[in-house]
Amino acid sequence: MEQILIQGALLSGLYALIAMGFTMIFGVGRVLNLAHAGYVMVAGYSYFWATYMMGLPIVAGFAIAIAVSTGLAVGTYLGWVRRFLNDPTIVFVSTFIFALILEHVMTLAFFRENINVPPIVVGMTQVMGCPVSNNLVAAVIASWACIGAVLFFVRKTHMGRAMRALAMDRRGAIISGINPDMVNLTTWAISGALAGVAGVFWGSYTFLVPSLWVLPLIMSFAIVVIGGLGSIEGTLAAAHIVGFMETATVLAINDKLRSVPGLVIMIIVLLARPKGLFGR
Amino acid sequence: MATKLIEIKGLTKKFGGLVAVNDFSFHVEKGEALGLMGPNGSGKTTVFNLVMGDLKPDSGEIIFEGKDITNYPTYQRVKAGIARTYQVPRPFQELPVIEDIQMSTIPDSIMGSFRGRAMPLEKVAKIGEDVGLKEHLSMYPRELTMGDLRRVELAKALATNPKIVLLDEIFAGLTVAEIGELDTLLQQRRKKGLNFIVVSHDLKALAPLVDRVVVIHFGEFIAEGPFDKIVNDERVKAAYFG
Amino acid sequence: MKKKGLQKLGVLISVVLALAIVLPLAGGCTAGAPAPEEPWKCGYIGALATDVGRSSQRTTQIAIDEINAAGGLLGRQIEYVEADSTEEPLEGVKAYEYLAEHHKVDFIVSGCIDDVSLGWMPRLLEYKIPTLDTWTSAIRCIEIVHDDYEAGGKAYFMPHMNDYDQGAEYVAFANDLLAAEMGWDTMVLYYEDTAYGCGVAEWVRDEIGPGAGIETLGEVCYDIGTFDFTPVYSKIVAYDPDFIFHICSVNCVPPSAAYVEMEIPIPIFGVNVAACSAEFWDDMGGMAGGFNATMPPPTIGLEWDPVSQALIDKYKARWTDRPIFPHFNGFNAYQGIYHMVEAAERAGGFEPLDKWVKEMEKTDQILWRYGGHERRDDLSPTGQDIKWQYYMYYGPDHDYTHSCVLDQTGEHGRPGGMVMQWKLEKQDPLEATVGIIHPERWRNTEFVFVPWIPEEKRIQK
Ligand SMILES: Nc1ncnc2c1ncn2[C@@H]1O[C@H](COP(=O)(O)OP(=O)(O)OP(=O)(O)O)[C@@H](O)[C@H]1O
Ligand SMILES: [Mg+2]
Repeated sequence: MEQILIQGALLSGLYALIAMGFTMIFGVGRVLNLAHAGYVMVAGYSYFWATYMMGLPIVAGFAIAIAVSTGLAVGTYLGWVRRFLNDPTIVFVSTFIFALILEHVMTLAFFRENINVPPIVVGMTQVMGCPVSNNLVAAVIASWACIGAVLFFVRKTHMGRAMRALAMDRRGAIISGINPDMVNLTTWAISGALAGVAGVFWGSYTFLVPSLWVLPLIMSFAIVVIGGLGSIEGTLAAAHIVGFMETATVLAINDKLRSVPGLVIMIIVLLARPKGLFGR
Repeated sequence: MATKLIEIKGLTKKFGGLVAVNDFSFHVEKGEALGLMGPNGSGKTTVFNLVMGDLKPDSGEIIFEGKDITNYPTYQRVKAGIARTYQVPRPFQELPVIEDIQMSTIPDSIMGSFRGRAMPLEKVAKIGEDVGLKEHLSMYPRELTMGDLRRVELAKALATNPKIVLLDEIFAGLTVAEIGELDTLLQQRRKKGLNFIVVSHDLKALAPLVDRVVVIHFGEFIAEGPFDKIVNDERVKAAYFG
Repeated sequence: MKKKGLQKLGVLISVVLALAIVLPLAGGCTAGAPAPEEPWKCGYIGALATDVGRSSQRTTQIAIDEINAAGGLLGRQIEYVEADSTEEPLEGVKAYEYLAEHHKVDFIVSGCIDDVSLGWMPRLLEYKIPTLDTWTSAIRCIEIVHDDYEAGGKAYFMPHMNDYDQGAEYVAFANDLLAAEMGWDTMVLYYEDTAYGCGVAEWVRDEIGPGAGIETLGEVCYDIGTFDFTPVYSKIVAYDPDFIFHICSVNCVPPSAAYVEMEIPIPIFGVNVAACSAEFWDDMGGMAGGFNATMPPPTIGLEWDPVSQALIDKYKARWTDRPIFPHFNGFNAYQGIYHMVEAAERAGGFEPLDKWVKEMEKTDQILWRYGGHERRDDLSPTGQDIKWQYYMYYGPDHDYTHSCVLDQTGEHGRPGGMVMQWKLEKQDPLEATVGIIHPERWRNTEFVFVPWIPEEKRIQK
């Protein structure tokens, strides 16, 4: 039981971080960027490349990972998605293809073998009698720091307000003089940066493989649907529902059923409350 | 020469087979308030949508302060000094009135999101108070009456610091007393140099406010002139009552 | 200006991404000039994006280039073609059909994993194309060869030991090192939930336990999608065994890394396919020190005979990306192709199949440790060169038809399995980083414990 609580809280924190960028893009631009999880995967590899293969310090590894994933997000937006903002289906399908392309590119560069990212913080700690890796704890603290920073940004800065305005009513925001392109670009950049941080921690928590994006994508998708598409608060809550359910399933039932509870809850939510728990 | 604030030339907009606005031209002089009249469905809101960039015209030009803004995105027209209110008010449902109004004043850059200043809340409150929202500044849209919502629309438009405001049925759903207050307010603003284009069914409210009226019918220009002359124009009467 | 710049950057990134997928596709299309005489065709099938697949893919090309340079087979050159099976059985079947029907290949070399090979076995029976299968040791493949020998199974050869023969060596390992030398008598069986993992686990449970007098305290089976091994290791540690017997082939790095990160205070042994690759050190992010693994030979860490060394030199000169050093299947593919081609030379080609198979079954190849055609007294304790690698295929009468003959006595030289261990500190990417700890007569390094194993958990005697 303790283990479910501890592991669940930690996993949920990481899920929240990954799903956050995904939900922001939907909230502001009303499109789903399935390549988001691809950025997470590429960021993990970038960090490994910088720190282990190039021997750069951890800070540089983070900077490079964040720069790469932000660059990818901004590139996807400016080079492609921007033209199709009024056609969510095109964006949905094409960003899925982008994720596949990223997987192929990473396969060419790093092959299909599993790679271990050395922990950023080493060692284990006993919490309530359960072993917990310090690395995961650090990952979750960092996740919450990022989530906090994003919440601050969205609530307290002008650009954040503009994002919320665009999310609430696109035309209303534009008529208030808000440049939707700029706000979208900023959102994509922030979301890309979040993917960068998430990629480093997710990669060091799990392992690197070019198909690494699939599970986070499924989980993020379930989370944002459960939480209410575009709702940041909903995403945080749903990440914890999914994270705890998953941990409980893995520990108490069978680890093969890992992603089942999230998807089942998603379907129930879709049927019972299609706009999600926090959807408007 | 440079007396025209905004000039609309040959504007045309089709919705499928329906020609909602057809080769429509008019202008607003600097310092002028213009009434835009026409029966239901004649194309007034569509003209506003075209001027704001909410819709793209099939042909025609929009010249603002000598610049062709036909291809400007909406937010740039707002920055240039054009604002509008919507016939059906569309406030941000999750913001209190004062923050909704403030949204119209936020700077347009990422760096600005930290340093650049939006209008401080005291000044925003002043705009709200001016349109009669003193008691409502911290309320949410769902708590407001239609009259108050129209005031919010107006306050939001004014907060963008416009040179001209397009007012779409600003008096609809207001009590006589409210209409009187709003009229007074708008006239004060006019004296300070603000221009208007006003669409209203309420000719009584419109009369004291406008210098000149343009009439549109089935998307086409049919008449233009001082208010008193226009309301007695045969074609206009035919359009309204025929 | 800024905006235009950003837009261009976006387009640029998109173009680069697009090129990145298109280019590799284009790379495979270069057609060779038509040979004066119709060449033989050799088809390679394997997962071309994996170390395993690429190991034999590359040594196959080396062997064919050598044979062509020496005048070809019966005066005709051999043309190399390939098909990507990925790690999906269905893709494997398609790839096999593609080689057979589109390229009409004369013989096939495979580097497929178990499930994929089992997937195309029915096609092999149908097409009856001589096929050398260099990675899988699945006994099921050999059973098909044995039972459907006349139906076409005889076209299949496995140039290494099958699971059961390899297993015999693991029992020896458990006896010699774990039970006799270390004095341990309890273990936890820890394995991945795959056909391979469960199959070997069953075997270890039935054979190693009773065979070496080791009691299995518990079993922990995990899903290969597992990424958080904390609860898994908690379960294992709770049993408090003398050692862990770990079996993994598909997803070895994550459980291995978790073992190090959690500093599990129990020694771990078993089958760890990733640990047998030269890239393991880097794949583990530098945390591979002390890992050991049981594998069929040849494996990294072994000292090489001159023939294998020449192959390694050519390999390294030609490819610098991963795998920087071939897996065991790379060596066996290289030798196996020579067996196939030499048999074809004696039989006058690959057809009729019977004739070629008869010749192939006569294969009897010895690689001498020091290349000794002459006896060199100074080179071995017994006063003669050492039989280092040995290739001979079981015939149709033996249960293990067409897999390699096991020789546990050492008379012929070749063991069914070896145990290698990574040194604690990396020195050189290849040299001296890995050593052989079992069997005795190949041992070139002493087994070392990772530092976090407590004293009382080490030698029990
Ligand atoms: N988006 C649209 N698609 C199709 N037809 C439209 C659209 N918007 C307006 N119309 C049609 O264009 C014509 C003009 O409409 P518009 O709303 O501009 O008239 P209006 O003068 O503002 O009328 P009202 O006095 O009722 O507000 C109407 O026939 C209307 O049905
Ligand atoms: Mg209207």
